[in-house]
Amino acid sequence: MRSCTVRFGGFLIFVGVLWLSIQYVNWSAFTPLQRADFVIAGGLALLLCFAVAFWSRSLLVDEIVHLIALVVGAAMLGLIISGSGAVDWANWAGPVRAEKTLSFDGSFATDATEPSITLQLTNGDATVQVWDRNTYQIVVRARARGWSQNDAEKALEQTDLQPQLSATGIVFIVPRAPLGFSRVEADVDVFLPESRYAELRMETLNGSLDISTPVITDRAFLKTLNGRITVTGLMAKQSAILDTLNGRISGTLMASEAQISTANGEIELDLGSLDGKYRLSALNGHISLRVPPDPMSNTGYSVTAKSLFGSVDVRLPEFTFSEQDHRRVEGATSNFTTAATKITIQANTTNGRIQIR
Amino acid sequence: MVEKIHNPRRYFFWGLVFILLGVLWRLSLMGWFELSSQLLLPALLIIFGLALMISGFLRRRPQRPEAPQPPPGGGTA
Repeated sequence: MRSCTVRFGGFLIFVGVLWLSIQYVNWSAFTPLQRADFVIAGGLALLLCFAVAFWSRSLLVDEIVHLIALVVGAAMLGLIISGSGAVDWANWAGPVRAEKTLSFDGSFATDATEPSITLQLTNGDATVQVWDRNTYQIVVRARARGWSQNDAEKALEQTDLQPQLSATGIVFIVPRAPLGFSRVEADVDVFLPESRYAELRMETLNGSLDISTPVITDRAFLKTLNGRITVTGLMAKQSAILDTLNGRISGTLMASEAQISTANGEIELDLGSLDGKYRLSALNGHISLRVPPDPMSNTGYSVTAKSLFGSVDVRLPEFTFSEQDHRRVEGATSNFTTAATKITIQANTTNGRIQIR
Repeated sequence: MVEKIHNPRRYFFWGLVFILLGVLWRLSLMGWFELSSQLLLPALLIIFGLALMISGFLRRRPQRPEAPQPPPGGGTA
């Protein structure tokens, strides 16, 4: 019994030191040769522990030696895992990386009324921004993993990273590997001329989506599986769909019809003054909406907000509650029927609070 | 002999593993060979095998039971 307790204590110490060694020790500050020497020195220290423990006749000495051996072993294991690129070796796609950056320029036809942008990635971030030029530019930063440099470069070369550019739009699709196992990651930055776009479609499986400047489009479709979605002044005249499974959705949004959903992450949005219906849902996360200041009372709000395990807090001027509960709020501002701009908000979350201010 | 809670031979085994691993890593960094995936996994197996063998040599073999002694004066004529 005593032996089991002591061993369990040793196990906890080992895990704790390993954790510290991986997380807090900056092994990369040492050169690879120094790190290899540390591993050899750790091995020699363990041999010394063996010699002392073997000839020791005292339980106290045994315990001290055991403690030293645990710390040395855990620290060395942490070094090997974090400092040697062993984590990369655990990656099935391989530890060696090859990179290349591609840039494509062009311009939309002057008579092309509303160009469309489609970005479909598998692993990588996509950023769209408007700049002050009349041309567009696409910058693709691609990375591939392999078990050797040639392997990684070959994987990169075999992937078609050529966007389809036309006078009416941009389509960039990174081919998806079977079962979603892709060795190629591609981050895409798109710089667009200031214009109104027919559709802005951004999809990725693992990566963030970012619209970093105000963009006007008829339809916006932003979907990622694992990653955050950030919109800075996105105006969708017709519809906007912002969807992620694991990630936060934030920024400034104006849309006639918007569906915003995340399973695991919070939604934090500033709404603009545009007639619209916003349906927001989160499974595990807060929903926080801020409405624009409206000194002339031109905007009316209708709100239905419900949280299963959180609180609901609606603080809008002249808001009349038709139903008010700790977890559910329904109502509208007194000017909703007569207001020039009407905004309807439906917000649901399972685990998290809802704030509308 | 005092009964030990921890087996000291484990320190010996892991010490050998770390030393062999460190030497392998150092030699690859010095350009003796390229530590590729094709080499790393078998090298790890060999390192563990070597460490097991060497630490096994140190294990004290169990003493053979002594041959039964003939009872005094019980010998055959």
